[in-house]
Amino acid sequence: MTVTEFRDRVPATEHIAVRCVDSDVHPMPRRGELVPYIPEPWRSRFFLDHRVGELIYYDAPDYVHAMAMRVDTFPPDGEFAGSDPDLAFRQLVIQAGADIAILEPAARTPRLAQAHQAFASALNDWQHHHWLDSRNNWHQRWRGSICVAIEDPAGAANEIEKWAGHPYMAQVLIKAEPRPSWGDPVYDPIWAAATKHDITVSCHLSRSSYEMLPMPPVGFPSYNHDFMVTYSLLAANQVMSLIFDGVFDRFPALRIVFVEHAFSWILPLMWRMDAIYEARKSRMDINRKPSEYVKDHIKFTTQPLDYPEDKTELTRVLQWMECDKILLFSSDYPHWTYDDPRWLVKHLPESAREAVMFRNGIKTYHLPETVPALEGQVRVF
Amino acid sequence: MPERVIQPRLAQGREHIVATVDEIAPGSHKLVPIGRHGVGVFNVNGSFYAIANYCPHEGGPLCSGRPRGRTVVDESVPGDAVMVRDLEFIYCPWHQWGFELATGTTAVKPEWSIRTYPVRVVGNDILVQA
Repeated sequence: MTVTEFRDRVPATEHIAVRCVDSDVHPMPRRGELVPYIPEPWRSRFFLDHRVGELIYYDAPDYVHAMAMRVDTFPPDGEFAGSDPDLAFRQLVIQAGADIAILEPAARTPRLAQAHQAFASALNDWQHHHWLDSRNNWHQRWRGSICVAIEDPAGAANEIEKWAGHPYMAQVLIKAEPRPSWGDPVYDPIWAAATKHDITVSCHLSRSSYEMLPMPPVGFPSYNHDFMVTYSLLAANQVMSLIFDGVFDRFPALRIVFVEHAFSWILPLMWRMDAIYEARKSRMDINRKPSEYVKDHIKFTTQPLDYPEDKTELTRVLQWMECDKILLFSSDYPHWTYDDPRWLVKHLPESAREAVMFRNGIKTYHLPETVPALEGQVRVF
Repeated sequence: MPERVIQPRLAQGREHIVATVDEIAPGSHKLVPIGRHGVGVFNVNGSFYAIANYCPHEGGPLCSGRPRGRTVVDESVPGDAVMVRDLEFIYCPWHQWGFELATGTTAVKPEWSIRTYPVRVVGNDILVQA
Protein backbone atom coordinates (compact mmCIF):
# COMPACT_ATOMS: atom_id res chain seq x y z
CA MET A 1 0.00 0.00 0.00
CA THR A 2 1.37 3.39 -0.93
CA VAL A 3 -0.04 6.41 0.84
CA THR A 4 0.65 10.06 0.36
CA GLU A 5 1.48 11.74 3.59
CA PHE A 6 -0.41 14.94 4.32
CA ARG A 7 0.32 17.27 7.15
CA ASP A 8 -1.95 20.18 7.85
CA ARG A 9 0.85 22.62 8.67
CA VAL A 10 -0.85 23.28 11.98
CA PRO A 11 1.22 22.73 15.14
CA ALA A 12 -0.20 20.27 17.64
CA THR A 13 -1.41 21.71 20.94
CA GLU A 14 0.44 18.91 22.72
CA HIS A 15 4.12 19.67 23.38
CA ILE A 16 7.11 17.35 23.76
CA ALA A 17 10.50 17.97 25.37
CA VAL A 18 13.34 19.05 23.09
CA ARG A 19 15.81 16.12 23.20
CA CYS A 20 17.95 16.81 20.14
CA VAL A 21 19.21 20.18 18.89
CA ASP A 22 21.07 20.01 15.58
CA SER A 23 23.46 22.96 15.33
CA ASP A 24 24.55 22.52 11.70
CA VAL A 25 22.00 22.16 8.90
CA HIS A 26 22.44 23.62 5.42
CA PRO A 27 19.47 25.07 3.54
CA MET A 28 20.08 25.94 -0.10
CA PRO A 29 18.25 28.47 -2.27
CA ARG A 30 16.56 27.06 -5.36
CA ARG A 31 18.00 28.32 -8.64
CA GLY A 32 17.39 32.06 -8.93
CA GLU A 33 15.53 32.23 -5.62
CA LEU A 34 18.13 34.39 -3.90
CA VAL A 35 18.59 36.98 -6.67
CA PRO A 36 15.68 39.33 -5.82
CA TYR A 37 16.92 39.62 -2.22
CA ILE A 38 20.41 40.87 -3.14
CA PRO A 39 20.38 44.64 -2.66
CA GLU A 40 21.28 46.92 -5.56
CA PRO A 41 23.72 47.94 -6.91
CA TRP A 42 25.40 44.64 -5.98
CA ARG A 43 22.73 42.49 -7.62
CA SER A 44 23.14 43.98 -11.12
CA ARG A 45 26.63 45.41 -10.98
CA PHE A 46 28.36 42.49 -9.27
CA PHE A 47 26.49 39.22 -8.89
CA LEU A 48 24.55 39.12 -12.18
CA ASP A 49 27.55 40.59 -14.00
CA HIS A 50 30.15 38.35 -12.39
CA ARG A 51 28.85 34.86 -12.89
CA VAL A 52 30.97 32.02 -11.65
CA GLY A 53 30.79 28.32 -12.29
CA GLU A 54 31.43 25.47 -9.91
CA LEU A 55 33.06 26.90 -6.80
CA ILE A 56 33.69 23.67 -4.94
CA TYR A 57 36.94 21.81 -5.35
CA TYR A 58 36.56 18.77 -3.29
CA ASP A 59 37.42 15.10 -3.23
CA ALA A 60 34.22 13.55 -1.90
CA PRO A 61 33.55 10.06 -3.34
CA ASP A 62 31.40 9.94 -6.49
CA TYR A 63 31.47 13.75 -6.53
CA VAL A 64 30.28 14.04 -10.13
CA HIS A 65 27.05 12.33 -9.16
CA ALA A 66 26.65 13.18 -5.47
CA MET A 67 28.07 16.76 -5.37
CA ALA A 68 29.37 16.00 -1.86
CA MET A 69 25.77 15.61 -0.64
CA ARG A 70 23.75 12.73 0.75
CA VAL A 71 22.32 11.42 -2.52
CA ASP A 72 18.87 10.90 -0.99
CA THR A 73 18.52 14.60 -0.13
CA PHE A 74 18.04 15.87 -3.69
CA PRO A 75 14.36 16.74 -4.08
CA PRO A 76 12.42 15.25 -7.01
CA ASP A 77 11.98 18.67 -8.66
CA GLY A 78 15.63 18.62 -9.81
CA GLU A 79 16.80 21.35 -7.46
CA PHE A 80 19.81 21.01 -5.19
CA ALA A 81 20.11 19.07 -1.93
CA GLY A 82 18.70 21.07 0.98
CA SER A 83 16.52 23.29 -1.22
CA ASP A 84 13.19 21.76 -0.20
CA PRO A 85 12.14 22.60 3.39
CA ASP A 86 9.50 19.84 3.38
CA LEU A 87 11.97 17.12 2.37
CA ALA A 88 14.51 18.37 4.94
CA PHE A 89 11.77 18.37 7.58
CA ARG A 90 10.83 14.80 6.74
CA GLN A 91 14.39 13.43 6.66
CA LEU A 92 15.95 15.38 9.49
CA VAL A 93 13.11 16.06 11.93
CA ILE A 94 10.69 13.16 11.38
CA GLN A 95 13.09 10.36 10.34
CA ALA A 96 16.32 11.32 12.15
CA GLY A 97 14.73 12.90 15.21
CA ALA A 98 16.21 16.43 15.36
CA ASP A 99 13.77 18.47 17.46
CA ILE A 100 15.20 21.86 16.54
CA ALA A 101 17.64 22.55 13.68
CA ILE A 102 19.91 25.58 13.33
CA LEU A 103 20.03 26.56 9.65
CA GLU A 104 23.36 27.74 8.29
CA PRO A 105 23.28 28.77 4.63
CA ALA A 106 26.67 28.06 3.10
CA ALA A 107 27.39 31.36 1.43
CA ARG A 108 29.64 32.49 -1.34
CA THR A 109 32.46 34.68 -0.06
CA PRO A 110 33.17 37.44 -2.58
CA ARG A 111 36.49 39.11 -1.97
CA LEU A 112 34.90 42.57 -1.73
CA ALA A 113 33.63 43.15 1.80
CA GLN A 114 30.59 45.16 0.65
CA ALA A 115 29.59 42.53 -1.90
CA HIS A 116 29.92 39.85 0.76
CA GLN A 117 27.73 41.90 3.11
CA ALA A 118 25.11 42.34 0.37
CA PHE A 119 25.09 38.60 -0.24
CA ALA A 120 24.79 37.87 3.49
CA SER A 121 21.86 40.25 3.83
CA ALA A 122 20.16 38.48 0.90
CA LEU A 123 20.56 35.16 2.71
CA ASN A 124 18.88 36.65 5.78
CA ASP A 125 15.87 37.93 3.84
CA TRP A 126 15.70 34.63 1.97
CA GLN A 127 15.68 32.57 5.18
CA HIS A 128 12.96 34.82 6.58
CA HIS A 129 10.74 34.32 3.52
CA HIS A 130 11.50 30.72 2.53
CA TRP A 131 12.31 28.75 5.70
CA LEU A 132 11.28 30.72 8.78
CA ASP A 133 7.89 31.87 7.48
CA SER A 134 4.66 30.49 8.88
CA ARG A 135 4.15 28.12 5.93
CA ASN A 136 7.58 26.47 6.06
CA ASN A 137 8.20 26.78 9.79
CA TRP A 138 4.66 25.89 10.89
CA HIS A 139 6.25 23.15 13.06
CA GLN A 140 8.57 25.67 14.79
CA ARG A 141 11.60 23.40 14.27
CA TRP A 142 13.74 25.71 12.08
CA ARG A 143 16.01 28.41 13.46
CA GLY A 144 17.90 30.74 11.13
CA SER A 145 21.29 32.46 11.20
CA ILE A 146 21.90 36.19 10.85
CA CYS A 147 24.62 35.99 8.19
CA VAL A 148 27.14 38.83 8.25
CA ALA A 149 30.48 39.68 6.61
CA ILE A 150 32.86 40.18 9.51
CA GLU A 151 35.37 42.08 7.33
CA ASP A 152 32.85 44.95 7.29
CA PRO A 153 32.27 45.32 11.06
CA ALA A 154 29.93 48.34 10.86
CA GLY A 155 27.77 46.69 8.21
CA ALA A 156 27.77 43.46 10.19
CA ALA A 157 26.60 45.26 13.33
CA ASN A 158 23.80 46.93 11.32
CA GLU A 159 22.67 43.55 10.03
CA ILE A 160 22.60 42.17 13.58
CA GLU A 161 20.53 45.17 14.71
CA LYS A 162 18.12 44.59 11.83
CA TRP A 163 17.41 40.94 12.63
CA ALA A 164 17.94 40.63 16.38
CA GLY A 165 14.62 39.92 18.03
CA HIS A 166 13.33 37.90 15.07
CA PRO A 167 11.50 35.00 16.75
CA TYR A 168 13.33 32.38 14.68
CA MET A 169 16.82 33.86 14.22
CA ALA A 170 18.98 31.96 16.71
CA GLN A 171 22.53 33.14 16.05
CA VAL A 172 24.91 35.36 14.12
CA LEU A 173 26.97 33.52 11.48
CA ILE A 174 30.47 34.70 10.56
CA LYS A 175 33.59 33.44 8.79
CA ALA A 176 37.03 32.94 10.30
CA GLU A 177 39.38 33.72 7.38
CA PRO A 178 39.49 37.54 7.26
CA ARG A 179 42.45 39.24 8.92
CA PRO A 180 43.33 40.41 11.50
CA SER A 181 42.25 37.73 13.98
CA TRP A 182 39.13 38.13 16.11
CA GLY A 183 40.92 39.58 19.13
CA ASP A 184 41.55 42.81 17.22
CA PRO A 185 39.35 45.69 18.49
CA VAL A 186 38.24 46.34 14.90
CA TYR A 187 35.61 43.62 15.43
CA ASP A 188 34.29 45.03 18.70
CA PRO A 189 31.13 46.48 17.06
CA ILE A 190 30.10 42.91 16.11
CA TRP A 191 30.69 41.47 19.59
CA ALA A 192 28.94 44.54 21.07
CA ALA A 193 25.84 44.11 18.90
CA ALA A 194 25.70 40.38 19.62
CA THR A 195 26.03 40.75 23.39
CA LYS A 196 23.61 43.68 23.43
CA HIS A 197 20.96 41.31 22.06
CA ASP A 198 22.33 38.28 23.94
CA ILE A 199 22.71 36.33 20.72
CA THR A 200 25.37 33.68 20.05
CA VAL A 201 28.01 34.19 17.34
CA SER A 202 28.82 31.07 15.32
CA CYS A 203 31.49 30.44 12.77
CA HIS A 204 31.03 27.74 10.17
CA LEU A 205 34.11 26.47 8.40
CA SER A 206 34.61 28.07 5.04
CA ARG A 207 37.33 28.53 2.47
CA SER A 208 37.06 32.10 1.32
CA SER A 209 39.12 32.72 -1.81
CA TYR A 210 42.42 33.87 -3.22
CA GLU A 211 44.82 35.17 -0.57
CA MET A 212 42.16 34.75 2.13
CA LEU A 213 42.31 30.95 1.99
CA PRO A 214 43.22 29.68 5.44
CA MET A 215 46.97 29.49 4.98
CA PRO A 216 49.08 27.44 7.37
CA PRO A 217 52.32 29.02 8.65
CA VAL A 218 54.38 26.93 6.21
CA GLY A 219 52.33 27.86 3.13
CA PHE A 220 49.60 26.17 1.15
CA PRO A 221 49.30 22.40 1.34
CA SER A 222 49.63 20.27 -1.77
CA TYR A 223 46.41 18.28 -1.47
CA ASN A 224 42.79 18.81 -0.51
CA HIS A 225 42.93 16.29 2.33
CA ASP A 226 45.91 18.17 3.77
CA PHE A 227 43.88 21.36 3.42
CA MET A 228 40.90 19.83 5.27
CA VAL A 229 43.04 19.41 8.39
CA THR A 230 44.11 23.04 8.13
CA TYR A 231 40.63 24.20 9.15
CA SER A 232 41.29 23.21 12.72
CA LEU A 233 44.44 25.38 12.76
CA LEU A 234 42.31 28.36 11.79
CA ALA A 235 39.86 27.75 14.65
CA ALA A 236 42.70 27.16 17.11
CA ASN A 237 44.21 30.53 16.14
CA GLN A 238 40.89 32.31 16.67
CA VAL A 239 40.41 30.63 20.07
CA MET A 240 43.85 31.85 21.18
CA SER A 241 43.19 35.34 19.84
CA LEU A 242 39.78 35.61 21.54
CA ILE A 243 41.25 34.60 24.90
CA PHE A 244 44.68 36.26 24.96
CA ASP A 245 43.51 39.49 23.30
CA GLY A 246 40.86 39.76 26.01
CA VAL A 247 37.67 39.64 23.96
CA PHE A 248 35.83 37.74 26.71
CA ASP A 249 37.00 40.31 29.28
CA ARG A 250 35.68 43.13 27.11
CA PHE A 251 32.46 41.20 26.40
CA PRO A 252 31.77 38.85 29.34
CA ALA A 253 28.42 37.77 27.87
CA LEU A 254 29.84 36.76 24.46
CA ARG A 255 29.22 33.19 23.33
CA ILE A 256 31.11 31.71 20.37
CA VAL A 257 30.40 28.46 18.50
CA PHE A 258 32.86 26.81 16.11
CA VAL A 259 30.90 24.72 13.65
CA GLU A 260 32.54 21.83 11.79
CA HIS A 261 36.12 22.73 12.75
CA ALA A 262 36.52 19.39 14.62
CA PHE A 263 37.29 19.65 18.32
CA SER A 264 39.66 16.96 19.57
CA TRP A 265 42.52 19.48 19.26
CA ILE A 266 41.02 21.73 21.94
CA LEU A 267 42.17 19.42 24.76
CA PRO A 268 45.96 19.79 24.19
CA LEU A 269 45.41 23.44 23.26
CA MET A 270 43.75 24.11 26.63
CA TRP A 271 46.68 22.41 28.38
CA ARG A 272 49.19 24.48 26.38
CA MET A 273 47.37 27.78 26.94
CA ASP A 274 47.01 27.08 30.67
CA ALA A 275 50.73 26.29 30.93
CA ILE A 276 51.72 29.54 29.22
CA TYR A 277 49.23 31.46 31.35
CA GLU A 278 50.65 29.93 34.54
CA ALA A 279 54.18 30.97 33.55
CA ARG A 280 53.42 34.47 32.35
CA LYS A 281 50.21 35.61 34.00
CA SER A 282 51.89 38.56 35.73
CA ARG A 283 52.33 40.08 32.26
CA MET A 284 48.79 39.36 31.07
CA ASP A 285 45.59 41.35 31.33
CA ILE A 286 43.34 38.33 31.38
CA ASN A 287 42.52 37.10 34.85
CA ARG A 288 41.39 33.49 34.48
CA LYS A 289 42.87 30.30 33.14
CA PRO A 290 42.38 30.07 29.36
CA SER A 291 40.62 26.70 29.72
CA GLU A 292 38.00 28.40 31.91
CA TYR A 293 37.27 30.92 29.15
CA VAL A 294 36.90 28.05 26.70
CA LYS A 295 34.46 26.18 28.93
CA ASP A 296 32.39 29.28 29.74
CA HIS A 297 32.28 31.01 26.36
CA ILE A 298 33.06 28.60 23.51
CA LYS A 299 31.26 25.61 22.04
CA PHE A 300 32.26 23.18 19.31
CA THR A 301 29.97 21.02 17.21
CA THR A 302 30.31 17.24 17.15
CA GLN A 303 30.58 16.75 13.39
CA PRO A 304 33.22 15.80 12.25
CA LEU A 305 33.74 13.32 15.08
CA ASP A 306 37.33 12.03 14.99
CA TYR A 307 38.16 8.86 16.84
CA PRO A 308 40.79 6.15 17.00
CA GLU A 309 40.03 2.50 16.27
CA ASP A 310 39.56 1.88 19.99
CA LYS A 311 36.57 4.02 20.89
CA THR A 312 37.22 3.81 24.63
CA GLU A 313 40.07 6.23 23.90
CA LEU A 314 37.50 8.65 22.50
CA THR A 315 35.40 8.33 25.66
CA ARG A 316 38.42 9.20 27.80
CA VAL A 317 39.29 12.25 25.72
CA LEU A 318 35.68 13.45 25.88
CA GLN A 319 35.76 13.16 29.66
CA TRP A 320 39.15 14.90 29.97
CA MET A 321 37.98 17.90 27.95
CA GLU A 322 34.66 17.99 29.87
CA CYS A 323 32.69 17.58 26.67
CA ASP A 324 29.43 18.23 28.53
CA LYS A 325 30.55 21.88 28.80
CA ILE A 326 31.87 22.51 25.30
CA LEU A 327 30.08 20.32 22.73
CA LEU A 328 26.87 20.76 20.73
CA PHE A 329 25.41 17.99 18.59
CA SER A 330 25.50 18.64 14.83
CA SER A 331 24.58 16.49 11.82
CA ASP A 332 25.73 18.61 8.83
CA TYR A 333 22.59 17.54 6.91
CA PRO A 334 22.40 17.32 3.89
CA HIS A 335 26.14 17.10 3.28
CA TRP A 336 27.74 13.71 2.65
CA THR A 337 29.57 14.00 5.97
CA TYR A 338 26.17 13.72 7.72
CA ASP A 339 26.17 12.22 11.23
CA ASP A 340 22.92 10.61 12.33
CA PRO A 341 21.95 11.68 15.88
CA ARG A 342 21.18 8.08 16.91
CA TRP A 343 24.69 7.10 15.79
CA LEU A 344 26.41 10.09 17.37
CA VAL A 345 24.77 9.80 20.78
CA LYS A 346 26.22 6.30 21.28
CA HIS A 347 29.73 7.77 21.28
CA LEU A 348 29.12 10.21 24.13
CA PRO A 349 29.75 9.26 27.76
CA GLU A 350 26.32 8.58 29.24
CA SER A 351 26.62 11.42 31.74
CA ALA A 352 27.25 13.91 28.90
CA ARG A 353 24.49 12.83 26.51
CA GLU A 354 21.75 15.20 27.64
CA ALA A 355 24.14 18.16 27.77
CA VAL A 356 25.58 17.61 24.29
CA MET A 357 22.40 16.50 22.54
CA PHE A 358 20.11 19.30 23.76
CA ARG A 359 20.83 21.12 27.05
CA ASN A 360 23.84 23.06 25.75
CA GLY A 361 21.97 23.86 22.54
CA ILE A 362 18.94 25.20 24.41
CA LYS A 363 21.18 27.42 26.53
CA THR A 364 23.45 28.55 23.70
CA TYR A 365 20.65 29.52 21.31
CA HIS A 366 17.97 30.39 23.90
CA LEU A 367 15.64 27.72 22.55
CA PRO A 368 12.37 26.58 24.11
CA GLU A 369 12.39 23.48 26.30
CA THR A 370 9.43 22.02 24.40
CA VAL A 371 8.08 22.05 20.84
CA PRO A 372 4.70 21.08 19.35
CA ALA A 373 4.56 17.29 19.04
CA LEU A 374 4.71 15.64 15.60
CA GLU A 375 3.03 12.37 14.74
CA GLY A 376 5.51 9.67 13.77
CA GLN A 377 8.66 11.57 14.71
CA VAL A 378 11.69 9.44 15.68
CA ARG A 379 12.99 10.13 19.19
CA VAL A 380 16.78 9.96 19.31
CA PHE A 381 17.25 8.71 22.88
CA MET B 1 5.19 16.06 0.21
CA PRO B 2 6.80 13.01 -1.49
CA GLU B 3 5.20 9.62 -1.04
CA ARG B 4 6.12 7.37 1.83
CA VAL B 5 5.59 3.67 1.57
CA ILE B 6 3.89 2.15 4.59
CA GLN B 7 3.75 -1.63 4.50
CA PRO B 8 3.27 -4.28 7.16
CA ARG B 9 6.58 -5.88 8.13
CA LEU B 10 7.03 -9.48 6.93
CA ALA B 11 8.15 -12.29 9.25
CA GLN B 12 11.86 -13.04 9.22
CA GLY B 13 13.61 -16.34 8.54
CA ARG B 14 11.52 -17.86 5.77
CA GLU B 15 11.20 -17.75 2.02
CA HIS B 16 9.05 -14.94 0.64
CA ILE B 17 7.64 -14.31 -2.82
CA VAL B 18 8.72 -10.69 -3.13
CA ALA B 19 8.06 -9.70 -6.74
CA THR B 20 7.52 -10.88 -10.27
CA VAL B 21 10.50 -10.95 -12.62
CA ASP B 22 9.23 -8.11 -14.81
CA GLU B 23 8.58 -5.94 -11.75
CA ILE B 24 12.32 -5.26 -11.19
CA ALA B 25 13.97 -4.05 -14.39
CA PRO B 26 17.75 -4.40 -14.87
CA GLY B 27 19.49 -1.65 -12.91
CA SER B 28 16.57 -1.12 -10.53
CA HIS B 29 15.57 -2.61 -7.21
CA LYS B 30 12.61 -3.22 -4.92
CA LEU B 31 12.67 -2.66 -1.19
CA VAL B 32 10.87 -5.46 0.68
CA PRO B 33 9.82 -4.95 4.32
CA ILE B 34 11.53 -8.00 5.83
CA GLY B 35 13.15 -7.51 9.25
CA ARG B 36 13.87 -4.26 10.99
CA HIS B 37 15.39 -2.33 8.10
CA GLY B 38 14.06 -4.11 5.03
CA VAL B 39 15.78 -6.04 2.25
CA GLY B 40 16.65 -4.62 -1.18
CA VAL B 41 16.18 -6.96 -4.15
CA PHE B 42 18.33 -5.83 -7.09
CA ASN B 43 18.35 -6.80 -10.75
CA VAL B 44 21.95 -6.71 -11.97
CA ASN B 45 21.96 -7.27 -15.71
CA GLY B 46 19.36 -10.04 -15.36
CA SER B 47 20.62 -11.65 -12.13
CA PHE B 48 18.78 -11.00 -8.87
CA TYR B 49 20.48 -10.25 -5.55
CA ALA B 50 19.09 -9.47 -2.10
CA ILE B 51 20.96 -7.40 0.51
CA ALA B 52 20.15 -5.85 3.90
CA ASN B 53 18.93 -2.25 3.71
CA TYR B 54 21.29 -1.17 6.46
CA CYS B 55 24.76 0.33 6.24
CA PRO B 56 26.99 -0.80 9.13
CA HIS B 57 28.90 2.48 9.08
CA GLU B 58 26.32 4.87 10.59
CA GLY B 59 23.07 2.99 9.94
CA GLY B 60 22.10 4.65 6.67
CA PRO B 61 19.35 3.29 4.32
CA LEU B 62 21.80 1.48 2.03
CA CYS B 63 19.42 0.49 -0.76
CA SER B 64 18.28 4.04 -1.56
CA GLY B 65 21.82 4.80 -2.70
CA ARG B 66 23.21 4.54 -6.19
CA PRO B 67 24.10 1.22 -7.82
CA ARG B 68 27.18 1.39 -10.02
CA GLY B 69 30.51 -0.39 -10.55
CA ARG B 70 33.80 0.03 -8.82
CA THR B 71 36.59 2.29 -9.98
CA VAL B 72 40.00 0.79 -10.71
CA VAL B 73 43.31 2.20 -11.91
CA ASP B 74 43.92 1.99 -15.66
CA GLU B 75 46.88 4.08 -16.72
CA SER B 76 46.08 3.63 -20.39
CA VAL B 77 43.01 5.91 -20.32
CA PRO B 78 42.59 9.65 -19.67
CA GLY B 79 42.16 10.19 -15.93
CA ASP B 80 43.98 6.91 -15.16
CA ALA B 81 40.78 5.28 -13.87
CA VAL B 82 37.85 3.30 -15.23
CA MET B 83 34.67 1.93 -13.73
CA VAL B 84 34.29 -1.84 -14.01
CA ARG B 85 31.42 -4.28 -13.27
CA ASP B 86 28.74 -1.60 -13.61
CA LEU B 87 25.70 -1.95 -11.27
CA GLU B 88 27.25 -4.80 -9.26
CA PHE B 89 27.79 -2.59 -6.20
CA ILE B 90 25.44 -0.48 -4.09
CA TYR B 91 26.73 2.77 -2.54
CA CYS B 92 25.13 4.11 0.65
CA PRO B 93 23.39 7.47 0.09
CA TRP B 94 24.93 9.00 3.23
CA HIS B 95 28.71 8.49 2.96
CA GLN B 96 29.16 6.40 -0.20
CA TRP B 97 30.35 3.19 1.40
CA GLY B 98 30.11 0.61 -1.41
CA PHE B 99 28.96 -3.02 -1.02
CA GLU B 100 29.18 -5.83 -3.56
CA LEU B 101 25.60 -6.94 -4.09
CA ALA B 102 26.58 -10.59 -4.64
CA THR B 103 28.53 -10.94 -1.38
CA GLY B 104 27.82 -7.95 0.91
CA THR B 105 31.55 -7.22 1.03
CA THR B 106 32.75 -3.66 1.43
CA ALA B 107 36.22 -2.53 0.43
CA VAL B 108 36.08 0.32 2.98
CA LYS B 109 36.19 -2.00 5.97
CA PRO B 110 35.96 -5.69 4.95
CA GLU B 111 35.31 -6.88 8.52
CA TRP B 112 32.05 -4.89 8.48
CA SER B 113 30.60 -6.70 5.48
CA ILE B 114 26.85 -7.24 5.63
CA ARG B 115 24.15 -9.89 5.09
CA THR B 116 23.04 -10.98 1.67
CA TYR B 117 20.16 -13.40 1.14
CA PRO B 118 19.57 -16.34 -1.22
CA VAL B 119 17.32 -15.51 -4.17
CA ARG B 120 15.47 -18.03 -6.42
CA VAL B 121 13.39 -17.42 -9.51
CA VAL B 122 10.47 -19.84 -9.81
CA GLY B 123 8.42 -19.34 -12.96
CA ASN B 124 7.68 -15.61 -12.99
CA ASP B 125 8.21 -15.13 -9.22
CA ILE B 126 11.25 -13.92 -7.33
CA LEU B 127 11.73 -15.71 -3.99
CA VAL B 128 13.99 -14.40 -1.22
CA GLN B 129 15.05 -16.40 1.83
CA ALA B 130 15.41 -13.78 4.56
